[in-house]
Formats: sequence, structure tokens, C-alpha cells
Amino acid sequence: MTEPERDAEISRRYRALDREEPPRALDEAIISAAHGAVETHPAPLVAPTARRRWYVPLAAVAVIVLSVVVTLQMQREQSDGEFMPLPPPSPPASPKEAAPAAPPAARDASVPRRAPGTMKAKERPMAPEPKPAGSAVPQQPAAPVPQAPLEKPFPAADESARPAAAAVGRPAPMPEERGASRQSIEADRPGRMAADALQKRAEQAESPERWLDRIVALRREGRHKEADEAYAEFKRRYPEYRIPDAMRKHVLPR
Amino acid sequence: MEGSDEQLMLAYRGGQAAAFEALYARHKGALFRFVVRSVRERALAEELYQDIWMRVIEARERYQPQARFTTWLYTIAHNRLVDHWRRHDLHAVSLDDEEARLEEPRGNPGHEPQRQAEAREGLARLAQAVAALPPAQREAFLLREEAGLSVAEIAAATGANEEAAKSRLRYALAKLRETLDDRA
Repeated sequence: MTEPERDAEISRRYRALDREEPPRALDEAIISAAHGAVETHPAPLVAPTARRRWYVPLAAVAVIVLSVVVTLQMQREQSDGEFMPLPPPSPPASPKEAAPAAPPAARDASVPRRAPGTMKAKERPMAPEPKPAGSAVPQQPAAPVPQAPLEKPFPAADESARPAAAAVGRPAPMPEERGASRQSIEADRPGRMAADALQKRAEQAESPERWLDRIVALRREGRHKEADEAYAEFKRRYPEYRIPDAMRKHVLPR
Repeated sequence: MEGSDEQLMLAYRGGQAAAFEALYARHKGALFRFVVRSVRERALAEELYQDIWMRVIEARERYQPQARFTTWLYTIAHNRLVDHWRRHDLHAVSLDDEEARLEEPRGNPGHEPQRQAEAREGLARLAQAVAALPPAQREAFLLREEAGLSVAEIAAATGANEEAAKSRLRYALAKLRETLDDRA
């Protein structure tokens, strides 16, 4: 069977043509280049696949993206701490009007939902904090203060009360921690004015319940003068607030 | 160094320069003739021939023995020739150079001038006939005769389908037969 694409006679004649070969100098140049290629840049034993070729650029892009995301996240958190809304400057006319003061407290309540150790120093001024004059952090209460009546008028404040209660239950290290927190604030802020402004803002953001808790704690420690001042300020800020009967005797001036 | 072409190429990829020498020795003559008879200009053919081997050297890391080494080598050669033709818009070649080259006196004259003259005349006719083929048909014929490629391998090396490669071969052989018969 003869293959139509083959012709033995033509092949025979073609092979009788001059069998040209490349010049010797060309052979040597090519072989020299082949030697040089493997000596200067040996080929890998495993041919690079597409995945391996893209590995380095892909890793570089991943690192850059991660860096940008972390930087943006840090900036966002920083700006959140610096531009928290201030509470209304004048006290509301009624408890219903006092309710809008709750959102900062609600925001405050959202902070402790994170892991406690992750809370930043810049966010802490929003938490209830005693006046800098005294060691106002209340110790463990001897008798539990009734909390139930407080939950109804200000349900949103209940969340904020929990970390406060937890803070009350914490032993001695708390003031030191706060001192460290304050140091970090001062380190972050260039001047003392900024720290004072934050402190004032924290006091303004204090919810009525926490305020009353603080007064109770002051009376329990025998610091009645400070408690009276705090009560007076409380009445000035919340003139319409109805103090629960169970708490009244622990709060009213003596 | 022993082994198949593919084994030698893999050995060269692994850093054994001696494997390339063996591979080169096997293919240098056929590839050189393929290039010379494709471009018809000796100096240019040498340049292209060297380029082809340089491409083989550079492409060693990507070499995968999925096909015969010969097919891979002549695919590179085909691509290099196509580059050359596109760059210089050369698709046809003159017969004058081939005739002149074939009629040049050889360095080792034979003792039988009459017989040598007849042989040279026959060779010249065939060379002229091959050179007169259209480039695609000539390439298919040279790949068959010099590289020993099958129709499928010719198709793979030239980027054509098998039917086209088969057709080019048939036309090339028909024209060569016709030329040789007419002059016989």
C-alpha cells in the first residue's frame, strides 16, 4: 500500500542532494552558548508552573492590601475616638427629653461587648468615671442596690449599667488601671486641656442611673460632702428625674 | 551520550550540557538544510539557524516531553521563519541564487566528469523544483524529508490542521513528479 503523501523516488533523489552542514564555527558558537546557559543560570529541576510564577507577585499584593486595610482600620478607630458626639449642653426638661442622652450611653454600652482588654484608652473617657478629685471608684457594695426599678424608665441604660456594676465589683487594681489609662490618654494627647475636656465630656455623658450609683457609693464611703455636691449637680442636670424609692434614702442629702 | 531526544533534552534542562551536544549532533544537519532550503540565502540561513538553537536553549525550562523533540524543534524553526518572512515580507524566493549556487564548482572534482555532470544536472533539477514550490508546500516537503515528520507532526509544527498538511504534501509531490517527468 503506497502512501499518497510519500514518493520513494523523489525521496531517493532528494537525499542525493548535497548534504549541507552548518559551518564548524557556528556549531561551536551554539554549543558554547548552550554550555554558558546551564553554567550561569541552571534550569530548575521542576519546570515553573503558572502558580509558582505568580506566587511572588501574589504574595506582594496580599501584603500591600493587608497593610492598607490595617492602616485604614486604625485611622477609622482613631477618628471614632476623637469625634464622638457630645451630649446636649443643657439638661432636658423632662425624663422623656432626657432619653436622647441615652445614645451616648448606648454607645458606651457597646464598647464593653468587645473583649475587655481590647478597649482603647481613648474610648474609656466615655465610660462612667469618678471625679478626679477623689478616689471615687466605689468599692464592693455592702448591700446590693436595687436595680430593678431603673430598668423600666431607661431600658437602654441597662446595658451601660452592667459594665458599671462590673467595675464596682472589681477590687483595688481598678484605680491603678484607670491611672494607667489616664496616662495613656495624656501620652496620646499633647496637652492637659485635651484630657480635661475628655473628662468633662465623660461626666456629661454619665447616665442618671450611674450618677445615682456613684452618689450611693460616695455615701457608703462616708464622703457625704462629695455626695451632696453630686446630688445637687444631679438635680440640676435632671430636675424631673424620679429617684426610685428604694434608692432615695441612700441618695438624698443627710 | 545515549538516550532518546526527549531524554537528552530533559537532561540538558537539568544542567547536563553534554546532553545538548548529543542532541545538537543528531539534528544539526537536517535543521540546517531545512533552513537553507527555506530561505535560499546562506548567510541569512546561518543567522536564522543560530537563532533557532538559541530559542531552544532559552526555552529549555519550559520544555515538556509531551510530543517528540523533533516536532518541538521544528515548531520553533517554523515560528522563526514565519517571523523572518513577516518582518521582511518575503514569501517567495528567486531561483537564480539556487542555480548559481548549484553551478558553483565543488572543492573535490570527480574523476568521471560526464557522470558527475549528469548527476549534478539531475540534482539541480530537483533543487530547482523544490525551490519552485510554494512556501507552504515546500515547508511541508522539507519537514517530511529532512525532519522525518509525519503528517500529524507537520500539522502540529506548522500550526495547520492535518488535512491542510496532507494536501500540501500531495501538491508538493505532484509538482515535483511533474517537473522531473517533463525533463526526463
